[in-house]
Parts: sequence; C-alpha cells; structure tokens
Amino acid sequence: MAKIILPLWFKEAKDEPCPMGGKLDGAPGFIEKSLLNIASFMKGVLDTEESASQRGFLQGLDARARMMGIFALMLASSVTGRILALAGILSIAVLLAYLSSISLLALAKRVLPVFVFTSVISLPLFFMAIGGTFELWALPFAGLNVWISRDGGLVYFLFVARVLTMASLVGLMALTTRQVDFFKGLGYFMPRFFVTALFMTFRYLFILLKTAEDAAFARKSRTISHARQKESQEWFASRVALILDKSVKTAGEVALAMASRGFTGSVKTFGYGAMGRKDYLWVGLTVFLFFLSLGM
Amino acid sequence: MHIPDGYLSPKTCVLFYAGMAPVWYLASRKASMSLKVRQLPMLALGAAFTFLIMMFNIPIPGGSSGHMVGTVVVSIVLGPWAGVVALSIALALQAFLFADGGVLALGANCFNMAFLMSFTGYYIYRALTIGKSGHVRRFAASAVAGYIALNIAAFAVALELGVQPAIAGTAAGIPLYAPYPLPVTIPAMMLPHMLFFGPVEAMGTALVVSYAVRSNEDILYNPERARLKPLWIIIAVMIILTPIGLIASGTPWGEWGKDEVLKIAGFVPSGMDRFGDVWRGFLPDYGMPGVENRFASAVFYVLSAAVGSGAVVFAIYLWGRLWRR
Repeated sequence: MAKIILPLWFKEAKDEPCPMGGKLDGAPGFIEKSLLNIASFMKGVLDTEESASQRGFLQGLDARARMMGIFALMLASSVTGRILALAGILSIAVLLAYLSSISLLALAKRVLPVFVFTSVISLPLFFMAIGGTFELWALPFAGLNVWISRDGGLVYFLFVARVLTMASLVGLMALTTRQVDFFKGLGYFMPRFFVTALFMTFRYLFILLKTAEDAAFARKSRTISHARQKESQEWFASRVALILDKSVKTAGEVALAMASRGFTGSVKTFGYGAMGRKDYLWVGLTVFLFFLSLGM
Repeated sequence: MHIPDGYLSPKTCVLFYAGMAPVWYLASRKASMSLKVRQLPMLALGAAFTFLIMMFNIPIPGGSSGHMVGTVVVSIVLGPWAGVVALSIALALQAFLFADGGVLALGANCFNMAFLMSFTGYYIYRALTIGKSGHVRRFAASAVAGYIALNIAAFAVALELGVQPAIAGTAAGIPLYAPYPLPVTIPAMMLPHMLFFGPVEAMGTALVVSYAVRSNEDILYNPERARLKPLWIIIAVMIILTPIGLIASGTPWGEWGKDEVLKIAGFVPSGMDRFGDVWRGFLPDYGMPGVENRFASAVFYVLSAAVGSGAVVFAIYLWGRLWRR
C-alpha cells in the first residue's frame, strides 16, 4: 500500500475550515468569490422582495403607473442641464423613499457602486481645460491654494449629480416593485413574448444558481490543498459546460411540458386591471416635472 | 462594459433603442424559425445561463480571478439571433432589477454586448472552423472569437462615450454627459480590454465551448444552408452604386498623395517621397490611368468594385477549400 502523506494542518484538530481554494494570505479564491457573488445576488433579491412588500406610497401605486412615473423622472434627469434641477429631482427621490418606507441605507447600497466609480473616474476633470478655456479657481486647502479648473469642476458636479439621481431612481423602482408586479408592469410597454421570457429567465436563474452553488460547495468540501491553476480552470470550464448542457436539455423538457399543457407558441396572459385616480395623478405630476425640466 | 444611466445623452439613447427595435424584432423571428416551440424556454434558459456566467469567477495567472461576459458562448451554442435575444433579456433583467447598467442606456448596452458581440463572435468562430475542425482548431477559434468580439464591443463603448462631448454639450462646449473625448475614452477602454478582460474572455469562451462539445457534440448551433441569392443581389446593387462616391470632392482624410501632403504640411516626408510610388496597383485610384471622361471613370469605378469584391469572395472560397477534407 502506498504511503499517504497528510498535510500538517490535517493532523491538528481545529474548528476553522481548511486553508484551501484561496491564496496563502487568506484572500478568497475564485470559488469563494463565485459563492459570494451568488449569495450576494440571492440576498439582494430577498431584500428587494421584502422592501417591495411593505406598505408605502410607491408600493400602493399600480405597477405600470409607478414605472411610467419613475421613467418620466429619469427622462427629466437626463434632459436637464442644471445641477439645481438634478438636486430637486434627487430630493424628490429621497422623499419618495421616505414615503415608501425604504431606508436610505438600502437605497445607498444600490447607488454606491456607480456613484463611487463615476466620482473617481471624473476626478481628472478638475485639472482639464473644458470648452477651450482654462479658468481656474483657487481653493484654500491646508494653508495652500489648490488651483482647479472652473469649468472642469462644474462638469464634474453636473455629471456626478446626474448619475447619482438616475441611479437613485432606478434603485427606488427596484426596491418598491415586487418582481411579479414588475413583469406585469413591463407588459404594458413590451411585447408579451419578451415579458414572458423575462419572467421565465428570472425563475430558471434560481435553478441554475442552485446547480452552480452545489458544484462550488462540492468542490470546496473535497479540496484539501491548493489546486494548480490549470486544474482550477478546467474545473470552472467543466462546471459551466455542464450547466450549459443542463440548460439546453431542460429547455427541451420544459418545451415538451408546455406543449403537453396546450402551449402552441403564442402567449396569453391575464388582463391588467384599470389604473386608479391616484395612479393618474402620479403619472400627471411626474410628466409635468419632465416638461418642466425641458426648459431648464 | 455596462454603460450606466447619465453617461449617454437622451438622443443617443433614443437612437440605440430605435436601432435595436428592428434587430429585436428580426432576432425573435429568426430565433422562432430555428428553435421552433422550444424557443421560449430555450431563450429564457440561455438568458439565465448568461446571467449566471457573469457571476462565476475564472482563475487567472497571478492567483487572481476575473469574470467573463459569455455572449460568444451563447451565440455559438444557440446561434447569433437567439444569442441577441437571450443577451438582451439578461441585460434587461440586470438593468431593471439589479441596477447593473442603465435603463435608458439599455438600447446601447444591448447593441454592444448582445448584437455586436454575438455576431462578430459567431461569424469569426464559423470562419475559423470551416470544414471538419478538430479539438485544437475549435479551441483556438473560440478563443479568438471571444477576444475579438469583446474588444469590438469595448471599442463601440469607447466611441459612444467619446462622442458625447461633441454631440451633447452647451454652446460654450461644456459636456453635459460623459465628459471625456475620444482620445481619452479609446485608450481608457481598449487597453484594459486588450490586456486583461480580452484574454479572460478568450480563455473562458475556449474552455467552456471545448468542454460543452466534449460532453455533447450536437450542442453547437448548426444552421440550415442559408439562401445566398439575396446576398448576391445586395452586393450587385452596391457595386452598381459605387460611382456615387465620385460625387464627393477632395481626398478622404489620411489618404493623401504627395501633392496633397505638400500643400498641407509644406513638405513631403522622405519615406513617402521614396516609397510612395513603388506600387500603383492594377487599377490605381479605382480607375484607369489617363482616362478623364466622367462616364468612363464611373465605368472603371464599377469595374474596380466588381474586381475587388470578386477577389475577396475568391479568397474566402480558397480558404474554405483549404480546410474542407
């Protein structure tokens, strides 16, 4: 019988998990990162459902009206060229979040990545000549004068304000709309075929995620040492190819199941209820704000 | 690669939505023809797979990891049109439910990642795997297709962002949306995609397609023989219309001869002076030397277009024959 050599840590009884899959310094490896992505996605979906099910102003509106209104505010944010107008729309977004019992922290979590990214990549604007001029501002900082481009600074704040406002509105829409209502609301604007495909995608995503998660955990639980990079890449490719194959085969089975239940290729859905007075008032107000922004 | 809201002007967003509308319509019709009743679940699962592949991390040299877009994988397996629909669905879910990529910018994101990547990746793969291709050629073709498709999409993003200061600014030249011009956006997008994200996409695409084919040889999209008559008609019409280019006066930017360079710069570079006239071509300037008559020039222009198109088709035919066994 061949001699089996065990690693030293295996001989010591410890509660912490074995040091595998990750780098020697304890940083997460690719499996851990994949699992974190999956877990973060699942948590995001659950948090969204929870906040969308609360009683609040936006949650009480018809899904179509809610989306139309938020879309009108997004268009208003897109067309205006004034920082003041953007600040006004952002204030409306914050007020709507308060009236809809959405915590600013939850909204900020959605907005933070794109806000930070935009703020950082736009920093060089402070030192650029914009529009052919290079008018400088002197800002006192730590007893020194820091010279920044006036137009560059204005462009920076306008750009960041616009991105922040639009991201907040999209975040608000996601946090106040249950995914069932969301697809129902989209059906007003898109062909039913696409809406049904969206709905089915969202469902199947969880099935495939479960397969991916199980594969990652299975690998994690069987690893006692650092794997070679080639082996890790082959594992990744084999799992993804397995999921792809499973997707194709499942699609065939689902198609047969749908056909056996009378599906002939055309999609029929229940009709949507009529919108109420509150919904029309909301749409009217937001469209009014859009037209107001055209002049700014 | 996902463009957030606020980076593109409203007219750019409208333009891309308008451009993608017929693509979506055509893609859903084409997918319906190729996938039949399986269409809806296949597109939904394809979109779910694309969504998932963006969450998976690939181990890369250096101990780090990256993630891929996966468009080329989906288009190779489902076909380019079905790939367009599946990717568009995945991008719409990401934008509306997870605020990953803008809602107003969804048309542009779908154009870049669903349309451009799907078609370039698919046709590059097909061109490189003509005939009976073995495992190695398929692997290399997938890698090349993934790399080029991603970089083409990245270039499109760079162009879309870079033109915003020129097309959407105040009278004083203050940009209202993405503030950096093309000389900034092109290197900023292309360098990381060519050096890092492209190789990750290439590697991921090649590995996944190879393993997928190994586990199920019939998984790849196999189109029915396409009708070529419409394509020949289009090429013939375009050849006949080429003399329209003669209406434009002046020389296209950068295609100057020695005389034009002398007028612009005041001197002719020594290299250009020495080598500029070494090779004149069979039909110099798409015409016949000494022919001044406008009608005769137009005829030779059409002839040049026919000769050029014929040469390209013949070269591709030879390439296909070379690989066919």
